Amino acid sequence: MTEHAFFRAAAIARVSFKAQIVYRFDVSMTALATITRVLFAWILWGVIFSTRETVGGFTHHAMLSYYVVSSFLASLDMSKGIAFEISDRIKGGTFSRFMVIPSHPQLYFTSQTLGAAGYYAIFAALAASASAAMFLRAGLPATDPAAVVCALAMIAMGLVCMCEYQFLIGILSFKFQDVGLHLQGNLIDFSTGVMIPLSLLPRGVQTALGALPFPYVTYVPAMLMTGQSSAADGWRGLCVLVFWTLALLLLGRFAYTRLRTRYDGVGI
Amino acid sequence: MSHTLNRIKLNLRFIALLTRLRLSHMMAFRLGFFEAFFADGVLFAMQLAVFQAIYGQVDMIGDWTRGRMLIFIGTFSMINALNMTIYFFGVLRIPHLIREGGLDHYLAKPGSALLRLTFERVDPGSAPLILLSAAIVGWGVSVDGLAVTIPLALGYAALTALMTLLYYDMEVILRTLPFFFISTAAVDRLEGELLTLNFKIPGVFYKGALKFVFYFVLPYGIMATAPAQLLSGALGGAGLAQAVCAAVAFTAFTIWFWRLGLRHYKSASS
Repeated sequence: MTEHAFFRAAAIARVSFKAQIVYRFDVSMTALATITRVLFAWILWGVIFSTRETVGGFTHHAMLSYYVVSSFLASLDMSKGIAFEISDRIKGGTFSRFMVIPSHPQLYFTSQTLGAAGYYAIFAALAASASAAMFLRAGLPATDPAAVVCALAMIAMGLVCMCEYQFLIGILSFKFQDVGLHLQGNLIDFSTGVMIPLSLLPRGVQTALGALPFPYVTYVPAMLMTGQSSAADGWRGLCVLVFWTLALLLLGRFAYTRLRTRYDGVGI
Repeated sequence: MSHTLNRIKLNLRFIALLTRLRLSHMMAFRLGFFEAFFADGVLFAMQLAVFQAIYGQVDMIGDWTRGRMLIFIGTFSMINALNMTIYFFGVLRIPHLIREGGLDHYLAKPGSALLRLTFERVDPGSAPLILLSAAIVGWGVSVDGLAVTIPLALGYAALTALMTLLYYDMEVILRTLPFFFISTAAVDRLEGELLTLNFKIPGVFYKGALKFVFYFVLPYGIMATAPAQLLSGALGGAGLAQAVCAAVAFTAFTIWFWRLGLRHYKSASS
């Protein structure tokens, strides 16, 4: 990224951060969703742990800690809107505005989403703290500082990776009328480990998911932050995530360059 | 008596006509015909995967076996599928019509506006989800080795239909609120969050205030739980009576609340 592109990205992110102040209701509902996910875990796993000490290597406290952290991380990922907006605008013929602004659409959508994520992070953190106070009286488990550093790097890279993934999916609307946007929300929630810790899944499913970027966006960072994975595992995951981010970034750029010529919209 | 029968016959013919109109409309816009089916099918497939993973680690959740949980998921999927197929897309438009004054077109026509809104947007693309849900329920029955007699199956079907009515009541009540408030986006999102929670947790797992809320105020906790318990032989007389009373009471309230809302309607032409 050139110096100019960096400043443009920073400016877009800053405007997007400020713009979120208008969407107070969306912000509060996202915070509520964070608490609801922990509430679900508290009720369901409370029943399960009432008759046993551990499940799949998790104690009750470790399980709730995992849900508090993973719910917080899930609330940061605002990238789902990218694919929907691009798809809607391509179908509606209003994507033209992104073709004429002095920034590549990929950079624009990524910066915009990261700016929004920064604002949401404040309230998601408050919601996660409230959830921890309500359901997790002993607080989060202590963990290795190296694992925390690795988790923070993965969280940042994961947010970028999901933006690039959603950009690529959205851009496919140039070629395909329906790219199945409604299908992927639950699939992504499942494969990122928001619904359930992935270590509870059968070994074959874990291996298959391990080759994809999604587990490294939420599951692995949450395991690292709650002291249930080592930093060594985290660094390996970070390498996979960096590979996927670069691959999706290049694929998205290639797809946009190739497919934009099919666009037939306002002003074209 | 004959007047009531004539009224029912007339309404049934009206519903059939609306369904035919909707089908011919959908044939003109075939794209996305099965979109709702795939989207909701994936939702329940993920739900199944989550509980399969949990039951891979434990034998029981409370006193809920794997089979009973499958019946619960299948039943919620069934209620949701009936909702999507029959009335969801019609009821969904009510807040928009109230805000934009479009309800005038419904009130000016003969017949019940709510009946028309309910049945004018049936979505046959969601219908395969009903079969899929029935298959999940059948799977749960076979996993637990339950002996299902014909009266029990009919009782389960009747209770599921009643709970689908209860689900409809909740949707209409929440979408009647725009008669009184300008913005009810909060209510829509809140409904989504509560449904997501209740899709995953049988109502019997709730305790204290949560149990009161999800059984008596927003009865999402009963909807799939009661039929699942009935089929697996865990529903007592009191539980059955509670479920039936909830459906009857909420239906009566829905009719009254809709009429009250109409009296507060500020139409586009007024």
